[in-house]
Amino acid sequence: MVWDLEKLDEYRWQIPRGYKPGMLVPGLIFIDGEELANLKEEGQALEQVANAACLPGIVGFAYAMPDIHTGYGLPIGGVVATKLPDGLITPGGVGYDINCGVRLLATPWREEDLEDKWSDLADELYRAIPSGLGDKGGLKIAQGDLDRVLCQGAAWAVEQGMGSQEDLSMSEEEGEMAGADPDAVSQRAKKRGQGQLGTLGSGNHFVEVQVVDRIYREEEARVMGLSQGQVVVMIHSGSRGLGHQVCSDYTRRMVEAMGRYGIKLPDRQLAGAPLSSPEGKRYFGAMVAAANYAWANRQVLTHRVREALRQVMGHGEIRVVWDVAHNIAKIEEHIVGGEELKLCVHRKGATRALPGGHSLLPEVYRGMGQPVLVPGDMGSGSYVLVGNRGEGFASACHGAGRRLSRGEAKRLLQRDEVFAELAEAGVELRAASRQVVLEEAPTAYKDVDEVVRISEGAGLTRQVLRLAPRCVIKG
Amino acid sequence: MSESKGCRTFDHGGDAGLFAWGPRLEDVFEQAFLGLVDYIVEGQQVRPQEERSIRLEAPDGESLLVEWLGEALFLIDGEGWLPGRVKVKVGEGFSLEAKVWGEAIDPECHWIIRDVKAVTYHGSKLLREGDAWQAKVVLDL
Repeated sequence: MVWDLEKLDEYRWQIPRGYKPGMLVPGLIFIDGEELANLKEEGQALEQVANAACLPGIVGFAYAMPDIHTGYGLPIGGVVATKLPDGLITPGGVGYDINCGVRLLATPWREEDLEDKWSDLADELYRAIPSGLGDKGGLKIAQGDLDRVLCQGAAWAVEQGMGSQEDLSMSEEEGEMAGADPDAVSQRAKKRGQGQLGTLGSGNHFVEVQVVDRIYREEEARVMGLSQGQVVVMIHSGSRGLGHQVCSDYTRRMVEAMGRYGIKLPDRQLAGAPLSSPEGKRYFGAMVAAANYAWANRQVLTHRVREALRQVMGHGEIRVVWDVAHNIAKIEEHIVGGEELKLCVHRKGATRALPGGHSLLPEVYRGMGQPVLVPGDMGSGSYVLVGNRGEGFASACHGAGRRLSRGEAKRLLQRDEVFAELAEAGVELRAASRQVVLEEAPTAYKDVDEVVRISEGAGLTRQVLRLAPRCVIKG
Repeated sequence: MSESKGCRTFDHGGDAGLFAWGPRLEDVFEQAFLGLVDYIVEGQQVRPQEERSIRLEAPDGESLLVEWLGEALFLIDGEGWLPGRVKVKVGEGFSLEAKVWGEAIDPECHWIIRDVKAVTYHGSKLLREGDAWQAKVVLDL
């Protein structure tokens, strides 16, 4: 494959509309020359951007964020927006783990307060946070309650005493997205979701205790109430089996429906229907319900983290700094070509990054822009950024992005070395599966520093601070 | 492909895929199903204590394959039940009937190693190549 991309500037590369038949808009990738060379060699992720540019009703560009890598359907790091009312909504543009996302908690403790307690804390968190596959340790909830979870999201958990109103106000959508349709969620999906609330899941999901180890912008850090040496907790999880089943159910329906709507796409995984169609509306309602389940899940996990921390550290206020969704479709208003349009914005492995002044932000963040939480890998660091100019339908990167496939990681890395490396870095690791540790090893991921640097260079985000991991709990 | 039937994994970006083959269409459905279960539990012993029946219909062969493998994920994640043996009969059009033998997941002796979120349609293939059938799917991990 010869990729002839047009360089717009140091961090913007365009796939011209003429690259493949059916592209309705150009592709635009926020990346630098070096990373682009790797992408060209691999080829598939760029092809997936071009495929996404074929979605009926797409406007602007098919965007890819700096952590772009090969997915299925839309690449990971892909952002596409289609125009209402008849633009396409596609489950493949959201992904299987609907509202997989990240939440950051600020603790009142400093690194020195935990000096001899890291190991105890790791043990306590591992005990308190059910991880791995299935529903072991999940909340047992009744069917009627599950429907309320699907409508109310994190607010349901707060109602049960697992958090406060302040937690809700510090979350995208306040943890309760409007438009949920629990009846559009299949019995199978509900069965999978019934016992899994409050569980972490496996794979790249984690709870990490981290320390603020570098501040780049004092003012923004101060607004978030974060300072050098402060201990924070990052939670990365999503909608568990319920969300996976919703995506599977509706991808199948969309594959069937496409013929009826005369839609042809280069990848069946992008199958979708007009948002105004019965299939489109039903998927949207089910997706919102799954997104709310994920927010409830992160709220229950927050409650469990708080209990574990207090067990080890005693009383202290543990505050939600922010909560982002990085696999979701939302109805948003954006200006495209000078015209204000109502759009369905799909972000798959991409974070919304509202610029300062945006009316959807809580007052405390309105001046500086939306916090963007970017988890790295378990051995290195994570970042807190803020939304900057609002380009790419106000989006930014969501993580480090994989460098090695799981299979390569397993073949190339030695388990003992991975554990030794983490121990040397002072990271207390507790994991349900040693296999997953290998597949999620730091070397398997791209350098998160690079991803964040490109995001800043492209003007998508401003770097605020870096977090170093101390305890990692994995599924 | 030294064996006449089997299933192996391949890399796909950060994820992985399954490639199954066999002389009969039934073989690839059975091999892919067991290959998926094995990817999740890696060679653990499953006793065929209980029998379950599955019937499926789909608009085309690839969809039937994706849905069929989705059944394995639902049995494990939704029912807490681990398949160990399977017998498939492919029917008219794009349909199948299957019997699956396995047991409820027992945390004392079964350990879920990998979380497979879903079986995707991306690049899914079901075709006859010479004397053999081949199936390919990409998994979301």
